[in-house]
Amino acid sequence: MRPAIDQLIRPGAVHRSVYTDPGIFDLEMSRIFDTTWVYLAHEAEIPEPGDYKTTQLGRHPVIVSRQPDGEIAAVINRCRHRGPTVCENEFGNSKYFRCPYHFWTYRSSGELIGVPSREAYGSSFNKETMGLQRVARVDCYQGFIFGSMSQSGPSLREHLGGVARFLDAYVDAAPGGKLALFEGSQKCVYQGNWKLQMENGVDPYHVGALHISAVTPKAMEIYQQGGGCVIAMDGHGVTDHTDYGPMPLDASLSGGFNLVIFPNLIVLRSQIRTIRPIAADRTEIHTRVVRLEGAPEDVNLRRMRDQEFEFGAAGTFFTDDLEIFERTQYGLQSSAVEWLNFSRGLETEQMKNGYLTGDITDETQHRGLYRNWLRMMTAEQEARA
Amino acid sequence: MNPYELRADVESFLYREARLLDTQRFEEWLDLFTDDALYWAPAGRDDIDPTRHVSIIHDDKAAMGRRVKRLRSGFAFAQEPASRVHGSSLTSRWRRHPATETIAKSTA
Repeated sequence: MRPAIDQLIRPGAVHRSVYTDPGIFDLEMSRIFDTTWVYLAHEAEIPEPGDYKTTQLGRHPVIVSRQPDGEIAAVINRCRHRGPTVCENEFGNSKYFRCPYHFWTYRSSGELIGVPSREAYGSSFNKETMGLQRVARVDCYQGFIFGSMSQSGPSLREHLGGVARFLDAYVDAAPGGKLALFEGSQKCVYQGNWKLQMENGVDPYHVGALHISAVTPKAMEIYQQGGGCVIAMDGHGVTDHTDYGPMPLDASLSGGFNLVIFPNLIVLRSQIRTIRPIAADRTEIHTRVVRLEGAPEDVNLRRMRDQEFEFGAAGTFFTDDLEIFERTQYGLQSSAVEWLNFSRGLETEQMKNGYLTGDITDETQHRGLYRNWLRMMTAEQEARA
Repeated sequence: MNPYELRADVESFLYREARLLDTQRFEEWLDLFTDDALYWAPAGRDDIDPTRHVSIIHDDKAAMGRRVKRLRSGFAFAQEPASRVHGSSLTSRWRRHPATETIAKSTA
């Protein structure tokens, strides 16, 4: 028996069932992913009218597309007739999506425009109400496109809170003031809970241990100087090295910051990483590599080569991260120990600039993520559209 | 070298390369490569331009050397304990270029 949900998070500890219990996972999908803002795509992935990307919002297969008027639409990739996905390509350009089962056809905005032998449905059939279901809200900040399944709730800007300022700085690092993306993405799957990657995206404490074989002497120097801080920022997590320097053009580990934007977006050096929860013990990671508009081509190429070497699916850092996620999930199956320890800096963290802030190896940012988790998991459920 | 000898030569090279990796003789494996070698594992499709599209691995010889060094460090935890691997070569094709080059293609 697991404790009640409001008993799963303590000031410096998280209960193991938060990672292992399929019932908790189901609740996360409805209480977190179906209510809050979830990262879907970057504008650079769908620049032209008709461009689309298929992705996932919680458990919902989604098509995000650029409409003829330049607006962005997000619809559930599920035929209103019998339920198959209507698009299987990851990227493409089309005005229409046609379900291959019975040829029901939709505009990319979702509107149903074609039903073979429609007269058999009789006069009560209303095409207007049978379009692809729309994602309730879609909004964009600095090129990052988010969707929310909930009609109500905070705006995207309110949801981002203080991390919006960091996204501004991330984009400002591009001399041309704009992010582009290298083609293609790196994808991998691990047998572990989605929150393991979320924690790990803002975890400076592990770098000098797990990554000791991969980290460069210069990067170790930054950590050993003891600068930087970790911040619990409006439910998101930040590791901030900007006291050492701004986000560097070449994305090397020399200043800058990492962001974990709850629940599924990680902005880390040259990468936009998306977390896709599949089951309590299964997660996909999709990574895009960022090119900076206006940066010299050799610098951009170096960003990609370094990212592949360090953080790609065969990367010197990322393989060890994936290893530790799977080892953690295996260890947490044991009921002999019920709690994970998250107490570093609990007694010394302080409010700075309005946010709870800890030293660089503290776990202040993780505690903030889990307070946010607990808040959403125990919130009164609002009526949804 | 006649075509039969060339075939035997190419195949024995490919087997040797796989054998060195299977038995974790990484330094000897690295020595098989020239200094201008490129070790490339494309991501998604194999017809990509690796200056515009991400790859899984796109290592020059220095990067390959850094991987070997890391594997030997005792701290490459994803390989502690080491994976048991078995290389295989399903097909190989080759053609002799003018002068001294031979181009070999192998599907593993």
